[in-house]
Amino acid sequence: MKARIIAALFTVIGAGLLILSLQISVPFSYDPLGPKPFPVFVSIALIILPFWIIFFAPDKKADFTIEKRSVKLILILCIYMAAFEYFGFMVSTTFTCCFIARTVGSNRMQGWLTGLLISIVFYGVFRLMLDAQLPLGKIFGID
Amino acid sequence: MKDRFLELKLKCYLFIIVFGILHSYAFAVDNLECIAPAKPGGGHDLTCQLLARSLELTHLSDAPMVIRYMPGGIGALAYNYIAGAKRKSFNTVVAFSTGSALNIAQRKFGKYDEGSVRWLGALVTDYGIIGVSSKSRWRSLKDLLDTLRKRPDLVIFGAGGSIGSQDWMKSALLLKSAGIDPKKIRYVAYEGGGEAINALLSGHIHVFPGDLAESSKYIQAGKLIVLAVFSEKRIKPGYSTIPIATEQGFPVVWPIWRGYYLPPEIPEEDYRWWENTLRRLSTTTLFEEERQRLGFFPFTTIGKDFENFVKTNVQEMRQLAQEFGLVK
Amino acid sequence: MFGLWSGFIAVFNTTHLIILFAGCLTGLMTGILPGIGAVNGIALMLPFVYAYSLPPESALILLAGIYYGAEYGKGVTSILQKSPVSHVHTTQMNGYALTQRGFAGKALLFSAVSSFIGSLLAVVGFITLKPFLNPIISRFGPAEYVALILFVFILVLFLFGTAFIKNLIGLCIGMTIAIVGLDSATGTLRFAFGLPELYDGIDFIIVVIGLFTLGEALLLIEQTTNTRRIEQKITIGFNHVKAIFKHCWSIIRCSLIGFIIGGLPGTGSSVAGAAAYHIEKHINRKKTDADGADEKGIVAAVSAGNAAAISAFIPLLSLGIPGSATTAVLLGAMLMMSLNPGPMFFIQQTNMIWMLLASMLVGNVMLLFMNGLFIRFFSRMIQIPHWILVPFIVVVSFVGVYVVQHTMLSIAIMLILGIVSYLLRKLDYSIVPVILGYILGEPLEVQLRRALAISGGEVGILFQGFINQLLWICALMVILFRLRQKIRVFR
Repeated sequence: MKARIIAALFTVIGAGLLILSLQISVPFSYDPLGPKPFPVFVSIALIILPFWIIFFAPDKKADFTIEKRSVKLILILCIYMAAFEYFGFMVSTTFTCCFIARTVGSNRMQGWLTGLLISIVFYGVFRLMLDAQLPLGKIFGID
Repeated sequence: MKDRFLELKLKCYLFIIVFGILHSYAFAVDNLECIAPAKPGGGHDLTCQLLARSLELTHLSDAPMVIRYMPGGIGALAYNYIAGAKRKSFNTVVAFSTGSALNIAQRKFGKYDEGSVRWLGALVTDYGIIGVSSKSRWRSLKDLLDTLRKRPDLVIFGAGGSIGSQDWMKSALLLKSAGIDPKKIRYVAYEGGGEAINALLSGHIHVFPGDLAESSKYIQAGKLIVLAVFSEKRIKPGYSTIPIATEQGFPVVWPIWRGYYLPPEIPEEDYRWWENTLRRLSTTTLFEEERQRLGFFPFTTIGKDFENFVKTNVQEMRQLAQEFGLVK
Repeated sequence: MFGLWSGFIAVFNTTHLIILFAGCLTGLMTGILPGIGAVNGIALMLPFVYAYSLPPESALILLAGIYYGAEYGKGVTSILQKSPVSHVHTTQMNGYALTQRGFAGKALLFSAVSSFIGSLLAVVGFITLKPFLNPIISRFGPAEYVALILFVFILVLFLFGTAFIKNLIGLCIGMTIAIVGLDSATGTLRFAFGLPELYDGIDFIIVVIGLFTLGEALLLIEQTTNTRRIEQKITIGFNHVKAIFKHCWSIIRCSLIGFIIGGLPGTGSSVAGAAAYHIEKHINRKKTDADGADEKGIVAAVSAGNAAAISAFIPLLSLGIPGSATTAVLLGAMLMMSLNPGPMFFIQQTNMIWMLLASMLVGNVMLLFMNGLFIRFFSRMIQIPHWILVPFIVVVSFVGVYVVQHTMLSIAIMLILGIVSYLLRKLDYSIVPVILGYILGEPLEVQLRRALAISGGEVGILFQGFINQLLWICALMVILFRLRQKIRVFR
């Protein structure tokens, strides 16, 4: 059942893409195809193909479970993303690593240790060795 | 592990973090930054390198200049960044060129236009060319265009840019001045100048509307012949034997000037500093040498002059874009 | 041969040797670590490599080292662990069987030696073939590329595990991601929603890290905690070394098979490994020695797999067409480092290619020693607890994407792709068509339109010329072969 829902989702996305593709405006082009046909073709394929899965596919592996751990991880990642630039790399990484470690089953100390170690090491490597910028946190007034 | 030990460790780490943040803060502010809105190795990269190295050699600035790459939308990403998030910054300058102006004119930079940033100045330029393979029979623009009129399939244009890009514009302007509709020819877009030159030399395309600087090594090797240069006068020294388009009866001029812009709300005294530094830089011999080393030609316009120049340029490009039906 | 000699000279300077060593070691380690593997190894190293701004030649040596190093590493993990994420199923079956019987050391030795010989023979093969490649690849014009890419698509669609429809959907998803951005021929924006960050499309590193690394991480944390510790001491006795000679012909045979299969565009080391395994089984069906059978299984799959990994470089470097997910990621990585594999690159940058080949020879020797010396360390590495591994993967992903494009949008896209990848894997879709669709979608469209621009609109240009026709015929054969299989199953 879940497989069918996802397949239907693809069809919907395909339809959305089709609408977008048809809106592509081309002043003119030198090749007979232009930038439109390819996206249109792909989106139509995305609309039609899932129907086969919805109607004809055997159900042997159609069901699956999404474990709570994965959902937790996804949530943590979303928060990490939101906090990344605002709180800065070091702080958000420390917290995130700790939460992830806890989710996977470590104890508190291990979690914090991992977090601190990873955030410091990474910041050091990237900033000093590779000269790449990592955000330090708008909350501290650094941009 | 005992708990006490860990507490101490955590405190140490915390200290390191705080220290690191403060240190980096200090670190971050000192440097000057030149943003090249493209991948490393392109024209914008060279523009920034020119500035960075000249500043270093002439000691006109105490702080070193770092080059940062911000590819995205042929300059759109960097433009949006400076006009938006970094509008008040004073240590960041961004490379800019004719191609970027063209994109502004075609409204490809999102909601920002030529009034959204502070224009600093331009120091060098390059010139457009019409190049053909040394194996081809044409020796002048007239030859080429005559063949084009009779057999359009024997004169395939190709360059490292899409329709509406600089390279395409050069050919479009040339064709327009010869009375040929640019839509009626064959044009193949490649990913970059190098790929297009390769296609030219292998015979897949026949005409290459490119730039002088990127073609120079092929010209010197004798593999690429320049039928015309899109400049006001013949280029001395070095290329004085190459005729310009105007003297062949096709008044097309296309310089690829390279300059810099600053954030729109940069404090006045910082703007003055940049302007003066640039002026002094352009008069030094060290700068001249750097310019020659990179294969560019002189073109110095700074401050208000540059601002007017850019705005006029963008306006002209807008008109061209409309004429050629590139924008609605 | 002068070329190879100059290649060696170029390789034997300190920087390059260090880089080569780093690459091989990283590859080996990431190949061994559960949940990572070659693709992720390259993806994880990318942010470091990119930020460090290595010159193209060094980048090439490094990336290649990671790639074939990981291939070595795969053998180790599958022997020591029954991990569902391991790719080389056959080695796993036999290798793990040997481990269970207490012969882990022997299995590892066999794996190491077979990897070494397989790779070596493949490099020699590459070197031998090189002069013959130039005339072929300079005939490749846009039409030939279209035929080739479609051939690769057909190979992936039809010969790849699960359902054809699922592969096709995956391919379309990949192509959709590739469409986002400015159209290179006309400059029109597609699927960009007016966001300047999307003008250049969705960057390669976002796609790779999202689809592979994050997706893998999500799957990884669902596994219950680690396998039990490796009880046995890993010892390698002298009689083990002697035992290898028994299989010497198998090794050579399978290396050859691997070399040929890997050299075809569209196939990767897993296919080669499986094919060699089955062929060896068939050849040796009369022998009944259980130990020997397991040994042969390892030897066959590993030598073929490594040979294929090396020979996959041939179509990759000469045409710029990847044949597997791993090579696709490798291609993307090369493009990021301003290397542009393809005929132009192959013919003009001969020195770089020779240096690469020399580095492969040296690298393989390095790997053999690493395998031998560090094997105990590596086998303990497999047991890295997840609470260190997963945060590490996550942070590298975020940093990697951020360093390339400093926008949160890219991280958001990476997350979305990660979730999508996770769901797809759960539904038994393979990610390989997706990444291939992404990497090859744009070249397909560009070359098709270029071919039509040159021919003035005639589709016939796609079917002219020897190479085109050959490719179309092969594609047809693959389709027919598969249909025949399906019909047989039906009866």
